[in-house]
Amino acid sequence: MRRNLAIRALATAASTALLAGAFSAGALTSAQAATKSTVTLLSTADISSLNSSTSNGNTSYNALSGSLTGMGFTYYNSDAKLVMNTKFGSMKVVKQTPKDFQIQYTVAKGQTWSDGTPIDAVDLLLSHVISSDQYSKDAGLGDPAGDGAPAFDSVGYGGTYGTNVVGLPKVGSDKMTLTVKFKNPLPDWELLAPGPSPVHALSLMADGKKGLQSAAVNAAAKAKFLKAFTSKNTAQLKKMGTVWTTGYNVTSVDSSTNKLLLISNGGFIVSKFTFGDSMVLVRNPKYNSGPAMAKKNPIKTVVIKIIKDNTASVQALRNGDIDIYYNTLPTGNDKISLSAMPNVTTLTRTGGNYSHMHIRVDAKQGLTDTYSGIFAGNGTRAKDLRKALLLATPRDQAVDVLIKPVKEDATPLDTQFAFQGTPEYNTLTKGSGVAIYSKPQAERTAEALALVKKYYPEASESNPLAKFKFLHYNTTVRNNIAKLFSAEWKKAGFDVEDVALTDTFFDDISYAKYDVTMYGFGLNSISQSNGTEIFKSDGGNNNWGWNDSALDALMTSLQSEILTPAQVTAKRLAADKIIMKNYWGLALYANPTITAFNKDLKNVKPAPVGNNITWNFFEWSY
Amino acid sequence: MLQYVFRRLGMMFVVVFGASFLAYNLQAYSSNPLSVFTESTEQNKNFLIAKMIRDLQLDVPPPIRYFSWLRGIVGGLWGDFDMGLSRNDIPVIELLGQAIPVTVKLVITATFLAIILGISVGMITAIRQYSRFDYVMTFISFLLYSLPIFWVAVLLKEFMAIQFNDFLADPKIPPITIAIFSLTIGFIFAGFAGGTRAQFFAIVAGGAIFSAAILTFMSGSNWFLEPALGIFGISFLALSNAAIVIQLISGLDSKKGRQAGFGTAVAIAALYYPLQSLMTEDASFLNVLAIFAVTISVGIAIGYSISKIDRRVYIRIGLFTALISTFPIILDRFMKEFPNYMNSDAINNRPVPTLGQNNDMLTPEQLENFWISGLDTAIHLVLPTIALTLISFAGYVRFSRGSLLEVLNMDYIRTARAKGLTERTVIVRHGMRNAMLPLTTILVNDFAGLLGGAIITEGVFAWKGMGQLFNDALRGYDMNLFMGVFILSATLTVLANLVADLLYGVVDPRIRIRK
Repeated sequence: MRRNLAIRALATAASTALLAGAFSAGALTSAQAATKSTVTLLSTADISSLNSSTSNGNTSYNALSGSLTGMGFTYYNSDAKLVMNTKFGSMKVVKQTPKDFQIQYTVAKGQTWSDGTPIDAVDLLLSHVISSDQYSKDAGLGDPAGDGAPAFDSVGYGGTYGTNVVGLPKVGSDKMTLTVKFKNPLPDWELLAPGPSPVHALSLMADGKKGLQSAAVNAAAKAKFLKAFTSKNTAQLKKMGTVWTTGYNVTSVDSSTNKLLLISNGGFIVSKFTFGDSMVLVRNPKYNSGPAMAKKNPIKTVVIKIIKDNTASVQALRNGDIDIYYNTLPTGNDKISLSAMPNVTTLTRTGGNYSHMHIRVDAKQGLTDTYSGIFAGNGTRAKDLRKALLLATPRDQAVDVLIKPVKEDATPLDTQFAFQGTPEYNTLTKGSGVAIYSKPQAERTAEALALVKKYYPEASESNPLAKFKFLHYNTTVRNNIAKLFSAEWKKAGFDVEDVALTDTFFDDISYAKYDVTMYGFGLNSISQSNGTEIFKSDGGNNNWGWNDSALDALMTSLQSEILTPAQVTAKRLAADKIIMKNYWGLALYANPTITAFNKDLKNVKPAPVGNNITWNFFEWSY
Repeated sequence: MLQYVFRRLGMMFVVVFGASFLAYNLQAYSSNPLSVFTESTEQNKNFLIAKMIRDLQLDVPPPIRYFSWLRGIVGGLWGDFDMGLSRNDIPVIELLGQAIPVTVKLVITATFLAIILGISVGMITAIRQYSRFDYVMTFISFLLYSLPIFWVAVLLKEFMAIQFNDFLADPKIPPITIAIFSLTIGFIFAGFAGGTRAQFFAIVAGGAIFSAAILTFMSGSNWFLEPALGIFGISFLALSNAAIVIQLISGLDSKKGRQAGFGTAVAIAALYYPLQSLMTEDASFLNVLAIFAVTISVGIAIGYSISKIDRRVYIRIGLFTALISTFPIILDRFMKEFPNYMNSDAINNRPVPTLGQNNDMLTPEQLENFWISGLDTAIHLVLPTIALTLISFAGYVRFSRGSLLEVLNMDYIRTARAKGLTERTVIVRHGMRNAMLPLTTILVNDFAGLLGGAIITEGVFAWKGMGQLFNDALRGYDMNLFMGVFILSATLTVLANLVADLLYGVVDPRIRIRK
């Protein structure tokens, strides 16, 4: 096994060197670039469903085609900002009292699905069916949290929408508005906007129809859906649920596929698909639900090619087999190969994921564990040792060795509420007290050793005494960081037991078997409540037993009050101060991502949230 | 005999049952599907975790869960066969149905090539034991045997796809490259041929001059952009292949043999122009079959007409010469379509892809054209086939060499020589045939193994075959899919063993299967 790894490493190194050399030597002619109108994207895992909202279809790979075939009220742009898609519609708060919070969604007039059926507010109702636990129970579709799967086996239950919505959403008299009532005001309410679905197609397929229908039949089908929705017609809804849950899971799309499955309001329509191989999407001539396509040489066809092997996709990019390559876990070698390619633009960005190192202070809330490690509790001794550990953690060294080869200007991440490059980040990191971890490492380690010596007078690098267990994933990157950290911690008198796990990692992080952990967190949305689940004493991601009443109050406020951006920053700053004062842990770095694409292709701007490269397909052109 | 087969089949059930139980539990205990939630910051994380436990029955111990899977398989006995759904909610049987043809397409050419090349090279090295050729081939086969395929694939893609496509922008070969390349070819030829030192260098020179001439012609005539074999290439290939067929079947010193072989070759070359009418734009696979029917009947007719006694031998010569010589004619037709293929929008002047099974951007008209879509498939197959052939070739070389050497030391070979049989007869009839016996077992098992897929090759060339299906199932905790692939490969392997044993009894008269 070890020998194999060594061979693999050697071969990879050799081929990287070779690729780099060869790429820089090669010259490429793109004689026909002007006529090109196809973009071939990379998907690093299988596309398994045309519906990415089901519990089994909810992958970012399925969403890749989803973002090309569906447009809604909002999307994230390349600056991680939520953009209102006014072409599709608008939303506003129409009532805001402590017990009654109502939002009105207006669908812009004149839009149609790709089969010509007008888009209206009825198309937004399915979103309620697949997000509201209560509706599923009331309509006899099954309890989403119960023993069996509900009729609409959706990934959306149990969230903010489902727990706060009251009654049924109301469709306006002109069918272009929808009013949704919540039991209390919700921050980040823009994120709750219902997505449109072609409900007439669902209704038709539930009745066994195949192929596109006439306008009258479509209108009747939509009316039938509305009736089944309002009257909670269990039998009819269950038939639709079956189609919605399993009907979209196809292994191929060709001319014999039921066209009702492919109805889209995005820029493209799926025209060909082979499971595990590729998907071809062609322009939707009726696209009017988002910004207009580029005027000059817009994209006419998008191909999504499934390539799981990273080296293979790098070479495919060089050969022109794909036009856009991305990697969310890039290495320095990838960067070298890509930068050497003559025909390719390479962008390095900070993605929506970051790595962190956190210290346990108590057993996780809700578990029967007890915790008594050296960092336990809030006494001076525990706090001193925690501070010593954080001081002795060589974050900048880890960034230098592992992140800078990919992103030259990377720095350690100093807060878990914002990423580098935003004004908020600067405000938070200046005032929180994180600056003590930026002093030169030797100075910090000396300070740490002094702190450790207060409790272990005999401690030194050759005689490390403060014993603890450090848990992380068993991957090359994590193991390398752990090696760096352990060496420095030892200098400060800590005796580290380094535990690298793969399969039981998830089970074990919550339990008091480990004192310090290192892993990552990923963000799929940018919201006011980001981070609250980590720092609240009963938060789902608070695995370290952290408990501070002042912090809890701040987190609750961030979760439940509608605040201005300035207020949010102020509360986050206050929270960061508490976190720093308690020496609970540190963020390490934001994970970089690489996107590389054909030089002739313009306006490729990857969005960090959800690593979405297709969000601005309408701006792409050759 | 029948009793033996039934007993073996009964044992097979026990073996497959035991193996599947073990495999299921090993896989179930080996990883934790919930770990995908480690880094999740979703608001409804708890709901999602509970849901996964419910959907995958993670609260049921794997040994018990196994039986709910087994129930679906055993259901086959009363017509209620069910391999379950994959984690993507797609029936496993559908996924297998899609993956098997992909794997077969990928692996079958390479397997045949490796078998044919490997066995012939192996046998030649055995006949010329301890010659220069033997040493060189031994070295090469061990070298290939030890190369990791993912690395071979990287090199192949770099030089045969990326660099070759770059080269096509201006397909002129510099003289120095021609010189080096031709000399290398000369040495390879000479190595194959053997002989005295003077002969050796004569062949080096001859081979080098010959290939330099061809390369200069290719470079000068824009051959790479408008390739074709032409009547000369086809005649040359037909005649040289006739020589090999004659030597193997009757020996080149047989006059009738020469008449049958070379006569057929000439006839095939003469058919080159008439046959073009069968290879029009709207041709289909049936046309290709028709061409083979024509050429093969011509070959058989020639073999029949020139002989009165021993007809079967000469008919065989005619038949094989015709069969093999027809391939260049078909190849030539595909080559003629190359400029159209190359200049189409989908290809954009970079014809050799680094991965994939087909070009997704071919227009419907292009897909309907048998020659263009065939060329597209063939070009996509080139690199993976070379990679797979290189890797598996070595095993056959070593095995067939050892096998023939062992046979050549047998008493009956000495007897045959003592009878005064020609060396050709001794080796081809008495040596090679017997040397093939032990190869039966390997061949049968290799063909059963085909469906197991080539995990790494499929991965690096992005082919979704059985190997990748297995890999995904393994990594994605997809129990039903994993077991689907497993049960298929396990059953095939056990069956192949039975078939190999039965075949052995058929081909080797010394072995009889008794009760």
